[in-house]
Amino acid sequence: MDANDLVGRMTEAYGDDVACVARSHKRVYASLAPEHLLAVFDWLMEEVPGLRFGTSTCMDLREGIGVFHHLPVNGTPLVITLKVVAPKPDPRVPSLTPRVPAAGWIEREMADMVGVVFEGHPEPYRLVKAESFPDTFPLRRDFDVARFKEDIGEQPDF
Amino acid sequence: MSSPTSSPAPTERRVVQIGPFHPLLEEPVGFSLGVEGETVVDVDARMDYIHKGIEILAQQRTYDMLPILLERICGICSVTHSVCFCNAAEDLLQVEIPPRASYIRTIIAELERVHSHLLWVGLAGHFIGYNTVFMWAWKYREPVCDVFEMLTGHRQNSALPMVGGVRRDIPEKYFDEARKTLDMVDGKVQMLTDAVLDDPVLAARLKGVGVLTPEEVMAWGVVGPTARASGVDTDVRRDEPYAAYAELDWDVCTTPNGDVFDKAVVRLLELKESIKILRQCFDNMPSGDLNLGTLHMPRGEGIGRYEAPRGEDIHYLRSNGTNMPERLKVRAPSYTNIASFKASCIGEKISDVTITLAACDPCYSCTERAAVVRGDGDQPERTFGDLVRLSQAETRRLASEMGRLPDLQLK
Amino acid sequence: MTSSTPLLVRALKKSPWVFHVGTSGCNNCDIEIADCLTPRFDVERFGIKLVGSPRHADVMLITGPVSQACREPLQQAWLEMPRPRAAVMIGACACSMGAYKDAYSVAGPPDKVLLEVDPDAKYIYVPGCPPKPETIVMGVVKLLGAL
Ligand code: SF4
Repeated sequence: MDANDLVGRMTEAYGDDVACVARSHKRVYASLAPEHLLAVFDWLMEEVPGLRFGTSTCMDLREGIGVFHHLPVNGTPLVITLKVVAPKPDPRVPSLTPRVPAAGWIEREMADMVGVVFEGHPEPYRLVKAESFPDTFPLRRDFDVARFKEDIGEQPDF
Repeated sequence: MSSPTSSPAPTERRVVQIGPFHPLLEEPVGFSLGVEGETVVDVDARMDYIHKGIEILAQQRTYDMLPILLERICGICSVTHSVCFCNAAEDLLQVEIPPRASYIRTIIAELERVHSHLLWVGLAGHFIGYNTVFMWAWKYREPVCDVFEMLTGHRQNSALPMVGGVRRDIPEKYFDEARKTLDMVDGKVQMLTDAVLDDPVLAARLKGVGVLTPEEVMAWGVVGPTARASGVDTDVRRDEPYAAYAELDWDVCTTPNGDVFDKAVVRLLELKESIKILRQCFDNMPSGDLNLGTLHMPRGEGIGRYEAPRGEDIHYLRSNGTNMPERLKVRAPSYTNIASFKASCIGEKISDVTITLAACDPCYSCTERAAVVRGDGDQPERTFGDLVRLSQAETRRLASEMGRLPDLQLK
Repeated sequence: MTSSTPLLVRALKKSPWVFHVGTSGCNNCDIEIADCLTPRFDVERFGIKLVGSPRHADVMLITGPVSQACREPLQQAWLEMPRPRAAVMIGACACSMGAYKDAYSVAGPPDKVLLEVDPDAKYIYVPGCPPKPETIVMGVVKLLGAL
């Protein structure tokens, strides 16, 4: 499927809810609100054959916590990126794991690293952060390595 | 906002822990298998042992230093991560690299694929008790590493890729030597392929074990040879050609069944394709510039994809106009392949688990490491060594039933 | 090595059994260690044997920086080793943390971690990223000479 073609169809289907641009013939970026994520994802799974869940990036942005799902399409150079931003004090994003199990680990990792809550995740446990680590989020901008080292240094059973 | 601290242990009769070290990813893996009798009923993973936070380190390195750091994500995929990062940066910049640079990248990438696949063949052989194959495959891997060293100066970490091309040239005077090595390896790969395809014990041992259906492949996002063995036709080298792949003549290998046997066959076939690509590169090496010089990185974002020996690698790069990235996300192929163990291991015999795990080539070290075992109460403890022994015993049993020696008949 | 007698040391030098611990480096050093076992280098001809449990081992090969989660398993494995015992730090990471020096979740280089539990631990360094198999073999041989 062509990138511009896809952008056209997505804008037609969702109008102003999804701000969709094709950066080149192989990269499509779509920004949307968290509440539309599941609907748009389902639509893409239906419409784009060969779409699979690649990975996700989490970022601490000024507006909130950004979660970018990267969805490559098998057999084409196209990678679709769905960007949602969850506002900060309590960032929540619906989980894709019930739809694609491939999202399970990366969502757990993102919850560890920036503290997003994935609503509806079947296994919301830690994945990459050691169990003895304090509840701080290393990819947040206010993460302080010195304080973190002090925190874990105090734990006797380390 | 806080995440609960630990995942609950599966409640089945016995828990076998595999791991805890798995250094292929920037994160490690410890597996707990829930076992009922001989059958695996649950798989759970922990990945905190080797979490070093490379993505955070990457935010403190300049674009010039980054390929060097990213080579150290994984030893066997060192070219993978550095070139994949360069692909992402070049996607952000929308530039094309000079032809000689793209050929050099192709050469180091394919040499890496050859030595990585040979390493896998050896380990897979070891896990099912074919230790001759282990020794042979690793013996033929050495000359490939030597070629890599001749061309780049190091056995694995070449430090060649940089944003906009490659850092140094590779000396053409060694191409003849490299061709000779390739001829030798080609013959040995053919020998191994024939031996694997002919061997009735291997067929009995590996066919129908650890099957991934195409639907499971799509649902779990499985990539690379593991997906191609299930008949899913995906290869980044063809789908989104980077480096010089678009100009070369080669094929994507797929097999239909998705079991461990097919995963081995796909890798052996791919070895031959890689050797074909390498020969073409040596013959058609263009001359010209090596890189585009110093590039200013504007604000923006880019996604790089790369077909690693184990599958598709994705890097997401976001720049804010300074000389360090604002965010670099690294997704190694094993990340999704390993997660799919939930689909392929459940319902398998415990003696088949090792080879099923090994079949997606997670990384040999995860298995070679001492396993720390979390026994459940008074249950006996098992280490990974025990699992390998179980797996090898199963092969011996099958072989003696068929009246054969438990090893490949190498001609 | 307080409890080691000259006889024990002499026996150890004839056939050192090694145990390999990877503490969160990249796996390149580990692959080079496994390479030492394969036909080209074949350390078994020197009596060096890779064993599966620290309780059977005389020499521990350590690769990589120690992540917080690996710290305790490493110390436990070290204490389980019978005396006389020694360690080889393989690779830039194990010597000095290498590329991961500033990583937030790394506890320290393995020598520091070992010294926490055993102040007279003996070890040598084999630098390189990764060191070639020849270098690793030479490191182990030098260690044996120094005991
Ligand atoms: S020294 Fe280099 S090769 Fe060895 S573990 Fe560290 S980064 Fe990897």
